[in-house]
Amino acid sequence: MTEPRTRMRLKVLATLFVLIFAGITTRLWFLQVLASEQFSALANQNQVRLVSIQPVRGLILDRDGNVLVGNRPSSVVTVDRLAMRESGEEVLLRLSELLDVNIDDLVERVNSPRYAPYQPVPVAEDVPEETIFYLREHERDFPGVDYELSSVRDYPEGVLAAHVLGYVGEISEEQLDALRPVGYLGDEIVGKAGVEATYERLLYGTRGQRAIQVNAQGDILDRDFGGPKPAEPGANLVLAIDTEIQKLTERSLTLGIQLGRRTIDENTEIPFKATGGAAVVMDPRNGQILAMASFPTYEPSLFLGGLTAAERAPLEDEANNFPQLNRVIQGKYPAGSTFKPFVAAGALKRKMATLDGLYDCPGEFVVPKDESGTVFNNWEPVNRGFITLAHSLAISCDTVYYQFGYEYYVRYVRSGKQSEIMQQDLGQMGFGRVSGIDLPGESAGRIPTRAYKFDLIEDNRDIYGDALSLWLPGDNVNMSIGQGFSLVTPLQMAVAYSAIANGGTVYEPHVGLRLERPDGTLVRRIAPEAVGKLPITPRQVAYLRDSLRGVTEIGTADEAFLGFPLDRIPVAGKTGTAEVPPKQDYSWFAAMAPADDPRYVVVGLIEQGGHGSTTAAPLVRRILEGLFGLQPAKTLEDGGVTD
Amino acid sequence: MDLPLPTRGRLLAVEQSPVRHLDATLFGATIALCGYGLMMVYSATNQSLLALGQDPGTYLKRQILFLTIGLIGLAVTALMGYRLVKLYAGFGYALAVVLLALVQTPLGTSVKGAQRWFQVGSFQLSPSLFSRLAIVAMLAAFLSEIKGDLLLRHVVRATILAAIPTILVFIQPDIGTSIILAFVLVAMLVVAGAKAKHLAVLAVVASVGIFGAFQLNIIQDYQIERLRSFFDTTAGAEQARYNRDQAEIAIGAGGVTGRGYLQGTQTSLDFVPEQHTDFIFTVVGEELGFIGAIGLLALFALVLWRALRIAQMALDPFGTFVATGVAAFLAIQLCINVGMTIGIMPITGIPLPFVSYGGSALIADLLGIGLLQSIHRRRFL
Repeated sequence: MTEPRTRMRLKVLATLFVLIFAGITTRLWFLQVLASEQFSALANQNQVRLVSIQPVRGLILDRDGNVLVGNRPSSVVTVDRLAMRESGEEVLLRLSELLDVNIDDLVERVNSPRYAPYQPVPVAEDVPEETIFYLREHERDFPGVDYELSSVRDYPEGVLAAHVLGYVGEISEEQLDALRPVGYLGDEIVGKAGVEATYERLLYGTRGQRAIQVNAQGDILDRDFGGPKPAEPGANLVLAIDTEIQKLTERSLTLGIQLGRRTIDENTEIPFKATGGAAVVMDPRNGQILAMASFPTYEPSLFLGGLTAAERAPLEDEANNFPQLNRVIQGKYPAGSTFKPFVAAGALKRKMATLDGLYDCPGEFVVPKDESGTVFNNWEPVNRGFITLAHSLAISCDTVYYQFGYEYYVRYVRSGKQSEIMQQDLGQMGFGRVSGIDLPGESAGRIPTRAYKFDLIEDNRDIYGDALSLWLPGDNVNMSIGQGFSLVTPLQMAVAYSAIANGGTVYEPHVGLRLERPDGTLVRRIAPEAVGKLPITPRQVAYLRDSLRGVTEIGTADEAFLGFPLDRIPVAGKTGTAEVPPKQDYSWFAAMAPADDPRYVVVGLIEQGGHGSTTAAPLVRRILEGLFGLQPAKTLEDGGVTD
Repeated sequence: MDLPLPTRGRLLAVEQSPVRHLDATLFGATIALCGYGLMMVYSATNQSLLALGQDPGTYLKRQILFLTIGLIGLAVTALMGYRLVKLYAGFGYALAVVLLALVQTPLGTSVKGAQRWFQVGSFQLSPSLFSRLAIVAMLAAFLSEIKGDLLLRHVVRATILAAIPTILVFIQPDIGTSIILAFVLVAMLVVAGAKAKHLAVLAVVASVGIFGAFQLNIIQDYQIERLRSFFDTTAGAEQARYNRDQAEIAIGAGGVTGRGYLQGTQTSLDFVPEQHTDFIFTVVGEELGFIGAIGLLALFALVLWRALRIAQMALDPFGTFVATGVAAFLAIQLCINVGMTIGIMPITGIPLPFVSYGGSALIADLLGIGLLQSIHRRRFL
C-alpha cells in the first residue's frame, strides 16, 4: 500500500481528470443539445448542392401549328474548372485540338465569369458522336471534361421567317440586369431578336432545381437526391404567320430583287442595284401579320453556340447590305406616292377636298408668291386638267397633292405657325410613331416638324450651309408626296393601308397569336387591338379604297396587273417611287384585296428597284396570285415605268 | 511456531490464479471501448471503401487483427509481472530512443510531412506510440529508486530522461505526442512529490524550448496553421479550420440521440477528414449523439478510475508510478483528442485510445492496460 502523501497526490491527479471530463461534457452539451439544430442544418447543406435545371424552351409554331422553331438534342462538352485542378492547361490544350477550337477562345469560355465555380462550363455544342466516344475512352486524359445532352434551337424550315423568329444566344449584361429579378442566371440562353426576344419570358418557362448529394471531394453520389422542383417548360408561341404565305412572300421578294437586278434603270443606265427589299402581308381586319419578309436574310441557326469571328464578319459587312436588319419594321424610307391616299384623307378631313370635287393636275407647280420660283414637277410632264380625287390617286398626280400640301402650309401660317396640322393628321394614321408590333427594334419612321427641321439644319450647318432652318411651304409640298424629311417603314404603310381597307381602324399589328402550354391550354391570347381611327368618315374611307382600284385597272399599275383577273379579284393599290438621291429610286407598292372587302393588305418595297410599277408592283401581284389560289409567276416581269 | 500455515498455501494458490486477480471492471471497460472502436471504424470507412470498389470491411478486419495482437500483448504483460518491466526499463528506454532517432532517417516513412512511421510489410509501425510506455517504465524505475524527498536534481534528471525522446518526437514533428510525454512526466513528478517551485522552473525551461523550436522552424507550416486556426477563427487559415468546423458540424448534427449507426452523412460522405483515426469521436458524436458520446466517456472514466485505484493499491512505488503514467497518458490523449473534435483543443494528430483505427496505438494502449492488470494482480504481498 502506498503512503498517505502519495494517495493525496493521486487525488490531485484524479481531480484533474474530473475537470477534463467536466469540460468535455459541458462542450458536448452545448454542441449536441443546445446548438444541435443549427449544426444539423449545416450538415445537410454540406451534403446537398442545389443545381438549377434549365427549362425546355417553348416551340414557335405557325398559325396552323407547323413548327417553325423547335428544339433538338445537342451534345455539349463541358469543363469543370475545379475538377481540372493543376493539369488544367494541358487538358485545355488537348481539348482544343480534339474539338478543333482555338485555344484562346476555349480559355476565354472556360474563364467566363458568368458561371458559378462548381458549375461546369459548356465549351462546345453539337459535338460529333465520334468525339464524344473519344472523350469517353480517354477520360483520364481529360479530367474535369464531361459532356451532356442539352436542348438547342432547331429550325425545320431553315431561313424561313428568320427576321420574325429571331435567334437565341448567351444573355447579355443588360439583359441579365433586367431579367435577374425574375430568376435568370448568368449562363442563360435567351432570345436576342425577333419573337424569341419579345416573348422571352413566356418561351423560357420556369427554372427547376435538382438536389444532388455530394461528398467532401465534390464527387456526385446521387443525382436525384431529395425533393426536386422540376423545371416547367416554356409556353409554345403560335404565330399569325402562315408558313405557305411566308414562303410565297419570301419567294416573291427574291424574284422582285432579281427582276430589279436585270432591269436597266433609265436614269443611271445601269441595272437596278436592288440592295434590299421588304414585303409584308397583313390581315387588315385584325392586325395579324400573315407573312413578313426582308431581303437579304440570314441563317438563325448560325447563332447557336455564339458567333465565331468568321461567322460574324459577313453579317456586319456593308457590302452584304446588313442581312440582320428587318427592313419591314426597321427600314426607313421616303413613302413616295404611296403616301397620297393619306394626304388625300387629310385633305378630306380638312375640307380642302370633297368626294365630288375636281382638282387641277398641271405638269408643274410653283408655290404662289415664291420669289425663288422653285418648280415642283409632276412625275410625268403632262397637264391632265381638272380631275377627281379618285383619278388623282389612280394616275398618281403629284401636282394635285402639291396643292394640298401648300394648303396645309397656308393653314399652318394662319394658325400663327402654331398648329402643325399636316403632321397631326398623318400621325393619327400611324406615321411617325411605332406601330407597337410585337417585335423588338421597331423604327418610328419620321414625320418632320418645324422643330425637327430647325434642329437638323442648325445642328448640321457644315452640311446644309446657309439653308433656311424655317419651316417652308416646300416642306409641306414635299411631304404631300411622301418626300422631304418624311420617312416611313413598310409596316407603317401596311397598318395605314389596313385602316383604309377595314373602314378606318388603325390596328396594332402583331405576329403572335397566342401562347399555350404544351398540352394546349391557353396562357395568353394576343388579341387584336385598335389603337386609332382614320380621321375621316367611313364613306370617305370607302371612297379612297374604291379609288385605288383605278390604280390597277387604268392607273399606274395597270401594266403590272395586266392579265390579273381583276374582275374576279379586284385589287386596290398604290404605287410609289421614292427618290433617295444619289441612289436609284426605291420602288413601293401597297395593295388591298379583294378590294370590295379586303382580307389582305400586301406591301412591297425594293430598295433601288425603280418606279413603283417596275419591281414592287409585280412582286406584290405575285403574292396576290398565291393568296388567291392562282398560279404564281415563275419569274417576274417589270410593270413599266410609272410612279 | 505453532501457527497453522494452510491459509498461506491457499493464499498463494489464489494469488497465482491469473483470472481471479485481474481487475474485471478495468478489463470489461477496455474491451467495451475496443468494441466501440470497431463499430466506429467500420462506420467511418465502409462507404469510402465501397466507393473505391473495395471490401467495406477492410479496415475493420485489420483493426480486429491489431486488437487480437494487442489482447495477446495485454495477457502476456499482465501475467509476466510488472517487476520484470523494471528490470528491462533501461533497455526498453534505449530501444525507444534509437527507434525514434531511426525514424528520422530514410528508413522511416513520411506521412503528411512528418517522419513518424516504419513501413513493415503492409503495416506501419509508429515508435512514438510505444515510446511512451518505455518512458513511463523508465521514469517509474528512476523515481521509485529515490529515497526520501524528491529534490530538484531528481526532477532535472527525470526531465532529461523524458526530454530526450520528447524532443525526438517533437522534431518529427509530432507536437501531440510531445505534449502527452510532457504531461506524463509532470503527472508522475506530481505523484512522486515534486515541489511546485520545481515544476515552475520546468515550465519556464519548456516554454523557452518551445519558443526556440518555433524560431528554428522545426515546427512545420501545416502545424502552425492548425494551431493558428484554433486560436484565430476570423482571418485566413480557411483550409486549416475546415477540419475543426466539419468535426463540430458532425458532432453537433448528432444531437441527443444521434443520426443512427451508419447514418451520419458527415461521416459517410467524407466531410470529416481522418475520421477513422484522429477524428473517430466525430463518428460517435454524429451517429450515436450525446448519449453515445457520454457512454463512451463513461467507459473512459471507468478505465481511469481503475487505473488510479491500481496506482493507489500498488504494492511498491514502481507500480504506483507505472499506473500513474499509464493513467496520465490515457487521460491526456482523451482530453486532446476529444477536445480537438469539439473545438476546445488545438488540432494535433492524437488518436483516441482503444477507439481510433491504428495498430501501434491500440497495441501500445492495451500493453498499458496489461501493465495495470499486472500491478493489480500483485497489489497484496
